[in-house]
Amino acid sequence: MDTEFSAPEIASQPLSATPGSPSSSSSSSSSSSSSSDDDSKFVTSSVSDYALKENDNRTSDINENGDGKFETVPERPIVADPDEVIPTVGDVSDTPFVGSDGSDVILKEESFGGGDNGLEEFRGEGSLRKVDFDSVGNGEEKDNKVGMGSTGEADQAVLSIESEEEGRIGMIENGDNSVLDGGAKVVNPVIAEAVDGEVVDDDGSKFSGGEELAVDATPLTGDGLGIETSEIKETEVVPVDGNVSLDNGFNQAGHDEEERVLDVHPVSDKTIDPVAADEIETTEVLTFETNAERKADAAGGGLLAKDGSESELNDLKEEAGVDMLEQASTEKIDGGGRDGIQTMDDSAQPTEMMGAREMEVSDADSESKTSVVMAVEESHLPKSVEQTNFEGEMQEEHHQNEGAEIGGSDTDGEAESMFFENADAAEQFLKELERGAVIGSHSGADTSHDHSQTIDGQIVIDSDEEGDTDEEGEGKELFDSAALAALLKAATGAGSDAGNITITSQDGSRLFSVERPVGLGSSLQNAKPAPRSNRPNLFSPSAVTSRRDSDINLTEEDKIKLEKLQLIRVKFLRLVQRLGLSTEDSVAAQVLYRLALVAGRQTSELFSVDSSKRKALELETEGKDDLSFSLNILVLGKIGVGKSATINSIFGEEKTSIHAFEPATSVVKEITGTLDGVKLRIIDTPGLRSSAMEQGANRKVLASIKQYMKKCPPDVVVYVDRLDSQTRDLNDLPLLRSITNSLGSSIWKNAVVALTHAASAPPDGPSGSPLSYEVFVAQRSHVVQQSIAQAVGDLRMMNPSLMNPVCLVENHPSCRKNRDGHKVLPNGQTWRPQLLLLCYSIKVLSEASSLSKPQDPFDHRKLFGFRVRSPPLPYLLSWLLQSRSHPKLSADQGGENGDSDIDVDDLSDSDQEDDEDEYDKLPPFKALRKAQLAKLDKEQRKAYFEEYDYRVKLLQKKKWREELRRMRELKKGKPAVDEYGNTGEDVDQETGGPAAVPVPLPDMVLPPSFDADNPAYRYRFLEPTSQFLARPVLDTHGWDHDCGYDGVNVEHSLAIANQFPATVSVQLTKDKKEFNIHLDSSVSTKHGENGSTMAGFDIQNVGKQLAYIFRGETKFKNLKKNKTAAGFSVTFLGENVATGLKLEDHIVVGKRLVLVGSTGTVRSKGDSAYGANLEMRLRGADFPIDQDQSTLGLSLVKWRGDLALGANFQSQLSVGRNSKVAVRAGLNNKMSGQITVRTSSSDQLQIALTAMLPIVMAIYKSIRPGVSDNYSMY
Amino acid sequence: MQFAVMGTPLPREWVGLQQFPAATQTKLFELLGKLKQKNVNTLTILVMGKGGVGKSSTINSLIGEQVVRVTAFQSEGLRPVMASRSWAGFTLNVIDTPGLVEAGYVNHQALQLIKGFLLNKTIDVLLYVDRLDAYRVDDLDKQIIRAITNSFGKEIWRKSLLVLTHAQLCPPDGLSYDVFSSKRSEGVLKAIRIGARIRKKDFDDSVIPVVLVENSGRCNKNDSDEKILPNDDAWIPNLVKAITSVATNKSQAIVVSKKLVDGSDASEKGKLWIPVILGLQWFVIKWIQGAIKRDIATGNGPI
Repeated sequence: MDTEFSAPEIASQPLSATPGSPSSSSSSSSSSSSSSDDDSKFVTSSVSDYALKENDNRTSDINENGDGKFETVPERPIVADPDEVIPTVGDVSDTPFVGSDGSDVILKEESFGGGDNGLEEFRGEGSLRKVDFDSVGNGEEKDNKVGMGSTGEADQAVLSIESEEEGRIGMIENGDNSVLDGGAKVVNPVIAEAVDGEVVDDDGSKFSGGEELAVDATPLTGDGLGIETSEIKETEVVPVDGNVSLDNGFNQAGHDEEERVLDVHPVSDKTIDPVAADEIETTEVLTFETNAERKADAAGGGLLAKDGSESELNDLKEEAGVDMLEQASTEKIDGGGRDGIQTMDDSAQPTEMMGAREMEVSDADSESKTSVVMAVEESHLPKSVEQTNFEGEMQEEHHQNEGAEIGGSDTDGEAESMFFENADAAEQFLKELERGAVIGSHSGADTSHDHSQTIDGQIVIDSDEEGDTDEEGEGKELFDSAALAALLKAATGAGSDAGNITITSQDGSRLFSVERPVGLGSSLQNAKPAPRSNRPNLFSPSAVTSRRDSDINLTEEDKIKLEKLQLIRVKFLRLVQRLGLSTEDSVAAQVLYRLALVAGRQTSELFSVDSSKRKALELETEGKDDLSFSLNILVLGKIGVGKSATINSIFGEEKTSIHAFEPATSVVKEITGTLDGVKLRIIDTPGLRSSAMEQGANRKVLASIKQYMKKCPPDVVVYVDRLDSQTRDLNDLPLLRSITNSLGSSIWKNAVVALTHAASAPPDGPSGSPLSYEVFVAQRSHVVQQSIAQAVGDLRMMNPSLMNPVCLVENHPSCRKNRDGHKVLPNGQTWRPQLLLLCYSIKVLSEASSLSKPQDPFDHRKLFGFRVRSPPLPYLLSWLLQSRSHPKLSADQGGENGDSDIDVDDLSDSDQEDDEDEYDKLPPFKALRKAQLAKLDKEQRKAYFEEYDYRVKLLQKKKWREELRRMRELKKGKPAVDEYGNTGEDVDQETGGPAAVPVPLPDMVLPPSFDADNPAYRYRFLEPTSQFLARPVLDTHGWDHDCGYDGVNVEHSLAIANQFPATVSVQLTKDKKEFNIHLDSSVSTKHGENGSTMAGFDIQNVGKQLAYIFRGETKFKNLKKNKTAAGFSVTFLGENVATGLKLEDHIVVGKRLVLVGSTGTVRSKGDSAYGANLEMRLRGADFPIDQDQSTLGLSLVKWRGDLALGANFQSQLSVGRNSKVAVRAGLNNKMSGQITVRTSSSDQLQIALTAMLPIVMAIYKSIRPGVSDNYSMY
Repeated sequence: MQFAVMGTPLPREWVGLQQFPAATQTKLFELLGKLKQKNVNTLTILVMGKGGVGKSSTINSLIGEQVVRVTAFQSEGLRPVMASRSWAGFTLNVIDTPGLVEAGYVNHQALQLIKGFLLNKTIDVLLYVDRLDAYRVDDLDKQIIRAITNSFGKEIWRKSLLVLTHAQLCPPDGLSYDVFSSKRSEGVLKAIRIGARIRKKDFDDSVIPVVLVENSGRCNKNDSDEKILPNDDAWIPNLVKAITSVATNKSQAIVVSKKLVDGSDASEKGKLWIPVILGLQWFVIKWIQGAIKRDIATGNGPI
């Protein structure tokens, strides 16, 4: 196991360091401790970690880290650990490490700023890793994972060793989880990574994890710390772990990180030989560390000694321990119980501490000592190297030892002491660092940094070398503060690496942050990344880089946004606090989460929850009433559910009158008040009725509410209903629909459902026993929410995540109250803060979302857009099948009327000659005056009218013929001066009558003085003489009722090359919702007398897209009575192309019957629609003059297997002399249809009305059977 | 009343009667004995009301067994259900009906089903059920009452009693329980009077008794284990007493005949008015024509 671990562990070590992060050393120590718990081996590994840590932050860091990290970690969860650590830290501490560890570190991280972001992220990772650790703790399997993920390598072996200890470690870790998290946080990303590695290692064996941590520690001091903390938690475990880990670390670490491994190896060897000696060794290491350079020397000696033999180690340790004691916290070490450990702490402080811890842990075992030594060595320089060297051997041994050592975990108590010591040492180190002198002390750390800086690879190498050196005494060199400092600086310079940063945060964060947050942070960052790079699994790299990127990419705009978000969050936190709730409250937590989402990925220090929490706390404790937060709440609901009572309850006083049996609120009114510094303006509304018959009254109420909403738009809508009404009969649907229709469905977006009478007991369930309150509430909430969703008609609302939040309300005066006088629900909740929190949350969230980029709120119409993607073939088909007139050359352009539709010839040629003079031949007719008419008797009058009508008809015919003749003359090329010559001679094809001549809009009369509101100015038609015919489009049903002009229509017809008539017409309409364009253009050419071809191009809106339609059509008059046309169209709609073909035939049968048939198909993407139309027109005998005409149309459309048949009948008849009836009827195969009867009459009005009655009734009944039935009931 | 149970299988033994607390049983036996004295051997009770007010629960409480399934939050089926129990030659039929409201409208379909179900049955007592703890009477209540009236005639209300469920409550606004319950009863009774279009005088003549009911398992009990209301009344005997008194009052039980069920054909309605309207129109036309003629006579000039 050991051996296995060792290799991976190295890799993992960095990781582990990450976990321990801030206190990479500590982490290592922690790991070591863990290892110690399990086995001595583990311890060693952890030791190695420590060593690394020491190197990094140096022993002090480690110590501190351990503590600090723990503490940092604790920031949140690790509190317990921190506490333990903290004391130590406190001791040490002074230096910010311990005491502040958690918070301080964090703060420091924040100070780092950009780096902080990275750090935070790392933290996140760290936490994750922590989790892993936990798992690891549970089983070695985790270790494997961790090892796999992070470093794998030798660490695994270590891990395995650790795994033995894991039980403890796991425990510790678990306890530490929080710690680790804290550590991870502190450590930042790097730490996190390190943590991961460690975790993995830990999984493999905690020790390995520890080692990793340690290794990482340099970079990931935090991790180390975390580990330490974990260890600490166990008890001295951390230190112990450290020791253990050290031992392991030596072995494992060596494995993991070459440096450490090397150390470990020697250590392990030593440890193996003399576990007890190991302890001694650790002490030595510690001393080395404490001394920093000197220590390094000593350590070197110690190490060497260790390497050489346990006795040596012991000696060294003893020496170191003494030194340490003298220097730092011998006491602590003593507390640790083991002198060696103590000494270690003193000397190496972080690393030493680690070592010491390890020692202590191991104390039981020599391993711990060895680990310590290792750590020291590592910290010095080559711990890693040594470790590596040792790794194989050491690890194995260590593992074994560790197994034994695990037992040693008992030493935890001691380890704790070590921690304290470490903490002290860390403090010292920190102080030193702060002073700048720290470097030396840091040297350990530095070395670690160096490692990190050097990058994992380097580190590893270094470690190997160092390890050797250490053994030789190189460790001292490494320790050289100066060198370390330089390395650190370099690292910082490199610092761009998030990983480094994280590391900093972990180890460095404490140390560095304390000392010089920014610089250190950066350096640390640099260092960290490197280590990561070495490790294959490093989480940090990716995370780090991403962070960095995000940081770099932070634009000014984003920053501003983040700042604003931060403000909002602080505000929200203050609100939460004022409500006496915690941020753990599910609603509050959700809001915070969503705020974080809004912030996006770039979370920097600027935007950390903790800082905002602090800020909120500060502001709140200041007690200033500067919370500028106001809330408009609209309260809606059925009558008698307790709307007004709820408002009274919110304010805690009788603000509005309530009545049990009579509607107490008859008008919309506003109730204002201030609650906890929040200005509340609540709009109380009259109750709504649920009966469908009373929705008219509801609409009135809602209209007045709407008026009020214009004045002060509500931030939150509270829909009130009773909890204890238990039906599912959709009783409130009409009411909800009315609300939706009147106030818009958006009203529900910010709505909260408040269920009153919440204290009512749940009804009996199916089993006869009462439902549980929770079930009752859940069911009722569900019913209300679903009703709302149904009323809104928005299926998305059915999504549980989008449903309106539900809050319970109990207004009854005798409602149970808690000690504070708050009303309590049966489930023990106080509802009022919850309700207010919900309301605040909604406003806060909407504020926050308004900050984010104006994203299109999800527009469900887009769905339609999607659907439209498959083109609406039936629509295109009907567009294609429309028969169009071909443009003709206007008369003055010498064009002939190419439209063969016109029946001019038929008419003119047939009847006209004979009847030509009929009218003129008639004897003169003298119209009678009314008075004369009155004198006639019935028969005379009848005869008179007949004659009169006949003559009128003849006269009309005559005029018609004259018109036709004139047209024919035009055709023959006779020049006719047309006032609007540019307009095509458009002859209405079906009636054969001349088309209405377009007349330009008369210029509007402008008012004498300018008034921008006058539509005459806005819609003035300024192109009276243009070639274009431009007209405004009036839509009286548009958005703007004042002036319904919402578009413009431009037409133009011209002759291209004087030969091809063309027309273009464009209509643009734009209202508040959409912009519509409709362009029709066509050009035609004539083939002889009997044919013409037209090509056209149309643009129009189909759904949200523009459809471009190219169409062509050719018409032939193949027989005198028969015309045939064939056409095609190509439509481009979005990405789709639809092609269509059509065939049309027009036959005139006799003089009065016209048959028009057309058929066509449109095809797109393998989807086809087929359609056919058949139309029969029967004209009256005197068609053009009297307008009698009947049309029967049949249409058939088949699309997607759906066959639609439709029949249309349209008839226009003259009834009697002075009336006309137009009937239109339509029916389709879905059995829906319509009948329209229109009668116009200049007499006998009553008869027409009488005739209408039964028709109307029949239609009404057939259409609304339900309604008529309803009426029958009464 | 004899034919009320025609065609129905023999009713089951009224086991629930024995489940009542002794005190309740005594009172019930007494009341039922009185009924038998009056030669009433069958009693058919129709229970109507909005959904979710506790109709089924009331029936279960009345019979003392779980004869009808009660599910909070679920609308019952559309079909009425009859539960019959016999005890010593006395048969009690209770007809549970679905809620009469659907989506804000009176559910005429349900009402039609009820009428069909009741065909050839005799209704001795109508229990109109509503909640005591609802604070408002709205138009929907009136519509329901009107629909019931239209289906069974105004007379039904002479054979009815008002049952207010959820009676175990603590009145709001510091009202006393009795004041609250009487106010609430008044409100519902007024809705009945208006909805059924009964003249105030007639309504006052035949008072509709009001019974408060608490069906919940959490209902308080007195020393003799009877379910009691906050005013210490044991409500089950009260309910039975009210039922017996209504059943034996001088008004005739409602026999649901074919004619009553079919009701008046909607398509027949208003047809009477057609000739009248035509006649009126004729007058209007005549008047207009006269006016025109006068106008023509006074005016001059060609047409």
